[in-house]
Amino acid sequence: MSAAIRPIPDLDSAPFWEGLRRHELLVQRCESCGVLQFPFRPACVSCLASSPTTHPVSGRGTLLSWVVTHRAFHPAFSEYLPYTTALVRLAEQDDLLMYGTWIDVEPPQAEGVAVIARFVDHDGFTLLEWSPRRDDDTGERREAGGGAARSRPRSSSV
Amino acid sequence: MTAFAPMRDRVAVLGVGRTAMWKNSGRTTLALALQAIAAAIADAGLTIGDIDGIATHHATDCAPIHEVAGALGLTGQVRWFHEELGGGSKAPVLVGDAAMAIATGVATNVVVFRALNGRSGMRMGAGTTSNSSGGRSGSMGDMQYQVPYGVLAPVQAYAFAARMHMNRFGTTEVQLGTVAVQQRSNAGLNPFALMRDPITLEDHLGSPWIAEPSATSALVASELYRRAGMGPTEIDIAELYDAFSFTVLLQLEDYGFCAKGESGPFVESGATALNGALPVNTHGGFLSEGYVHGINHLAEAVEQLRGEADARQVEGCETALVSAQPGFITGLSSAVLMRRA
Repeated sequence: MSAAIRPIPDLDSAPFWEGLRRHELLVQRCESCGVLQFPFRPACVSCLASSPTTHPVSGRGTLLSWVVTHRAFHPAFSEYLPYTTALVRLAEQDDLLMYGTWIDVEPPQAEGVAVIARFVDHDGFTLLEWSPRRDDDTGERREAGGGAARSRPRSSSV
Repeated sequence: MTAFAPMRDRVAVLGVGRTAMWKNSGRTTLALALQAIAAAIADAGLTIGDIDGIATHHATDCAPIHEVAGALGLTGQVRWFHEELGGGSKAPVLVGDAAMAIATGVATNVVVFRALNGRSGMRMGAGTTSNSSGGRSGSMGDMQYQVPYGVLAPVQAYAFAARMHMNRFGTTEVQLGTVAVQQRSNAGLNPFALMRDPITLEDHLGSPWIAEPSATSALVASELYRRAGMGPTEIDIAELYDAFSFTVLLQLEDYGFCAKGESGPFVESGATALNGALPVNTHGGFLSEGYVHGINHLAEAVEQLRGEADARQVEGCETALVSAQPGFITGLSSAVLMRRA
């Protein structure tokens, strides 16, 4: 399942979306106090220092919550119903939470499952998929990987 | 905790007014606002000449406040006004703001209103997919990180929180459904309610899924109790923001009516039913009366405190809590405590 609609970046978040395009998962890091943050902001939410820099993260995390959606709130998702979206806590810092499509045979059953991100290229943008992390996942895969065939987007989904 | 109660017992709600609820009113929001305001002024025993303040909140789905003031003939006598942008977190805070204006002497009699054609006009709860600010310096904010994955509507955002509650505390679909069933039962006694036919748990569990099932209202609760000089054991009824049944569970915990994680069994025990220890959403709430962003919860609390709620009247109702949308989405929330004068 790889329904998606095009992200609408803003001036603050553009580096995040550009990073995904290059298959790099980025958060922000404050050069003054060292705190990581996501979502992207124009300043550090801890000390208000301006211009946090981008900081790569591993793509590893744990599942915090998920939602199985049964109604299409946008036509792009109609044919994929029901679909599951995950909310993941990144490994690097407890308050870094990120959404993505849940890719597994079944909806998840428990909070705290170890997960790993994969990048899925669409026409002009890249999104995240999360799936359970298995022992052979290094967290450094930079392709849509084993899921490429099933997650290759169709033009109608973009 | 230091006492800080600058508004306590210094300001009163003198009257409430409302229109009927419709799925399609066939009237402008200006017409709806004027009718409700005129009714409130009459109910308060005042005339339009007594009003020197006006406040509302809206999501650009209502006539702007200067048009409402102008149509009321208030333009030359407004000493204080407040037009707040936003929806679910705003209704109680508007009452609080009006109370501050009155307590400080800036205004004498303030009318607080909310008018919308929520079903036939601009629809709440639909998906958000665009940047309403437009342009590159605009932003769809944090929604941009979820919309591409099909998380577009408030119901989905709350479902993430509900899922966590179910995972951590064993909260069940039956317990969530009990909220809806109890509120529908209350609505059956409320002539204003849009949905009055009784429903059962089986009806609820058999209804189609839309989305299965932070910041919370806990901070609001602690400030509220400090400023009111009261606590949850002194509250007789609670009109809790119920855009979804889960928000009722969340707030029962955050406002201290039960321990964290125990709201499901609390509701299932009947404690929140009309004849329970803490009747909740005695008018049926949004789930059954209608979705007016919270001002109807305020109106219901006033009617209960006055002893004018007829068939759904809670005996000996002296104090009422009215809450706004818990801050899971906006991060900000508000609430007001009222008691019989």
